[in-house]
Amino acid sequence: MNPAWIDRLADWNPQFIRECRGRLNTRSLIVAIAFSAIAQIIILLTYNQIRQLTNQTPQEIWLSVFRTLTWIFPYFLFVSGSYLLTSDITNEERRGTLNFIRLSPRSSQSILLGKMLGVPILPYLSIALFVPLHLIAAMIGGVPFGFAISYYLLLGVGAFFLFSFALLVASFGNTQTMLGSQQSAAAFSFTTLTFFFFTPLFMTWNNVTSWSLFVDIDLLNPGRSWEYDLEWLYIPISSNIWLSHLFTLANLAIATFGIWQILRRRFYNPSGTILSKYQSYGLIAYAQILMFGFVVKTPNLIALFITEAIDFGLILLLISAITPKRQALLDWVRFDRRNVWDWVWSAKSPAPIAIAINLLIVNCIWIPWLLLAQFDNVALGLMSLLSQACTLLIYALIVQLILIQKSQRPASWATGAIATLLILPPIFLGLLSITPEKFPAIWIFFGYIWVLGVSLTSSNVSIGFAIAIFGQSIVIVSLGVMLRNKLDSLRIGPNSVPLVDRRSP
Amino acid sequence: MTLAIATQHLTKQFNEQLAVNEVGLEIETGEIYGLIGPNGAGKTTLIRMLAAVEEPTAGEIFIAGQRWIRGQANPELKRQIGFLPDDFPLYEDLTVRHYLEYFGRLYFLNDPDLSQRLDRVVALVHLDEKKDSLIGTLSRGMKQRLSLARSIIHRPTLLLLDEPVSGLDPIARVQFRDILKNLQAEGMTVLISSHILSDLAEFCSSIGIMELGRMVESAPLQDLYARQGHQLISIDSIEDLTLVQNHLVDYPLVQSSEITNKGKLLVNFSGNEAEAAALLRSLIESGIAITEFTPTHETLENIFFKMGHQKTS
Repeated sequence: MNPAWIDRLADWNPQFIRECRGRLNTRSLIVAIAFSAIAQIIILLTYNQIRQLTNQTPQEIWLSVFRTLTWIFPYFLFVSGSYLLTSDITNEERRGTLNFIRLSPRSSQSILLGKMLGVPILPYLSIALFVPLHLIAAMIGGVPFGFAISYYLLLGVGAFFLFSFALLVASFGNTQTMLGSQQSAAAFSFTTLTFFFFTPLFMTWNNVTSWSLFVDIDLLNPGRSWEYDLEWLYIPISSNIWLSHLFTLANLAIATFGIWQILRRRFYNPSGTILSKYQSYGLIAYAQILMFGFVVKTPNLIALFITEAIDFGLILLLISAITPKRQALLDWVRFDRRNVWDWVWSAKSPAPIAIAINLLIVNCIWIPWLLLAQFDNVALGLMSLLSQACTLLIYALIVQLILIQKSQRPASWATGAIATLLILPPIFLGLLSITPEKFPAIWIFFGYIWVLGVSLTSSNVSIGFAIAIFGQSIVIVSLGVMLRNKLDSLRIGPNSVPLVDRRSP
Repeated sequence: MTLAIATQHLTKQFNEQLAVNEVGLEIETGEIYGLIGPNGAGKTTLIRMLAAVEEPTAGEIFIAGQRWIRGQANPELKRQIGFLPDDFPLYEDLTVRHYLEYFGRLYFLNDPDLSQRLDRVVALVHLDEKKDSLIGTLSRGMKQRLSLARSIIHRPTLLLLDEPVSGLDPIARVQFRDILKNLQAEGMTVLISSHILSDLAEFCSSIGIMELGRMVESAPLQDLYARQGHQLISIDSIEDLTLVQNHLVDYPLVQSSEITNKGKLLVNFSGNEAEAAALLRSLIESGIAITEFTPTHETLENIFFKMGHQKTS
């Protein structure tokens, strides 16, 4: 018989209890407790040694202990939790056990929340055992109580966001994306990304916005007085403690909500595209508003080019996330195709129109800003936006044309093709001494106008731009016609007649 | 009566092949429906679509009269379906009890109902003594029975079984057959695919034959037998069987006869039961000492080979 509280917990979320039962055995509990105890002893001994070697006061030493633990917690929690979650989901998917859970009447949110709470239960336990030492160090070190509250609040919300993201990455395991992700590779890659990007970003961002406002707690530059000046839509988010928290928490909440919408769809349709088309529109619009808020007070080409570079990466990821595979296209052209709106909304329809709409959303923000704000070179800004849109549309068409082909690894081919288009042109142009100053049209044709913009004026590039855009337009139309022909051939292909009928004389 | 399962033009396309091609299936509530066909006929794909593991390319599925769409929450319909695939991945780090408790709770069963149901199901699949054993320590047959227990813990009204007896030894197969009969007695509708046709002939009320993605036949088993238009009669006598064979040569409803290597006369008879009785009377009246007269059906294997291949090749 289980204790009543376990039964109640199991009734609320059976997945959570299942994960705990699989992990909380005597051996793993001893390992977690021993790890935590030994690590705490090592930290205390180290700082005791430092105290003996330096003239620091006990309060300063305890403050150092507090700072150290403040850095260790997110690294340990985020990295271990991300790894455990991604590898658990990908393993369940590979073994086929996740299918049974999918068939149950429990909601995807309930299942995934159970995973998120239960799979990293041992790291949670280890951190929990560290908390008393962290709080004692804070108290003796003179850390404001508000900082501790802020830290644990943001750590919790940050972990929820990151682990949601980990679940999403794990769900890619079953998808043949442009990145051609493998299951074990997903866990390894995301954990590496967490260690080298997400965790430093979390610490840096919070230190710059929320935590630097607590006196003497600057985690990046201990002992130094540092003032950060960060505004979003002219709102000073790094100089007001409430606004900084509100901004961070609101954005984490929006991003997490978005991830859970994607997760819900993918949970029941793991072989579909990563994002639906309407989710891609929402994501790109949100990213533009977020970026616009940061750059609005600096209307110059450098700021525009930075946002363009971010958008370039974002749209490339979107191309991989919403471009359907051959099977989906076959289903669509033969069974699902209804009307022209399918190109805009249907997850199985070809992606280029949706990518064009996403590019439209991007430019709906930046072109008015370019025209209304005091830019020193509006024409160059407009040209760069238009040229980038054409380049990305060409990429979207190429990826879709490759994914429509019957081949062993179309995703790898698509990745290779785009990587080639990104890397090889500047190398070849450089080797052939085709400089941007002499032949701007060629550089613009390959989508490098934002590189040129730094050194050239609009008068230099206007003719080159016209030639390049003309060339890109021809490529877009040609690829579009190829895609249409390919879709037609799929619809009326030799195998489109039911098999049994084909066998009849 | 509401149909337990109905499909309309159900189609699944893999690459450019139609794995399931416009299948219209109707299974009445309480039936045990056997799905047979060669490898690649589309049986597994059909069952996976019915279980909502696979998304249909086209067509519609109705479970107990309600439209069944994969990806929609639809918890009420999900509670009505139990699914056992041909492979049976399990959580080897859990005990049998914890595994079944977990799935019971996923289907909103709570104590004390859950405990009672767990005991009932474990007894049904003969795993009473293994309740507290780790799943990793169970034999293949036990794991298969545990998977069955998992698929019925929530009292589904419809059970979908894909090759459930493949890889089981004869004793385990007999046990499985008994379990299925018990489930039918509880009123459960069962759709089962299997290559062991003699097993299906024993407990199925209807049979569907699939070939190349198409449902080439779907009918009650008795109708299939009757549709053959003839029956086999096994005859034995204390006299020389060639004498009996000679007597039957001119009997109008006898198509052919042969003496088997078991020492029986097997008669291919195209009459009905009353006409078979008349044949027996005729043999007795002619003074032949008959010790056995057993009408039998054409085997399901024979029907399958005749009907399936006739209609598709």
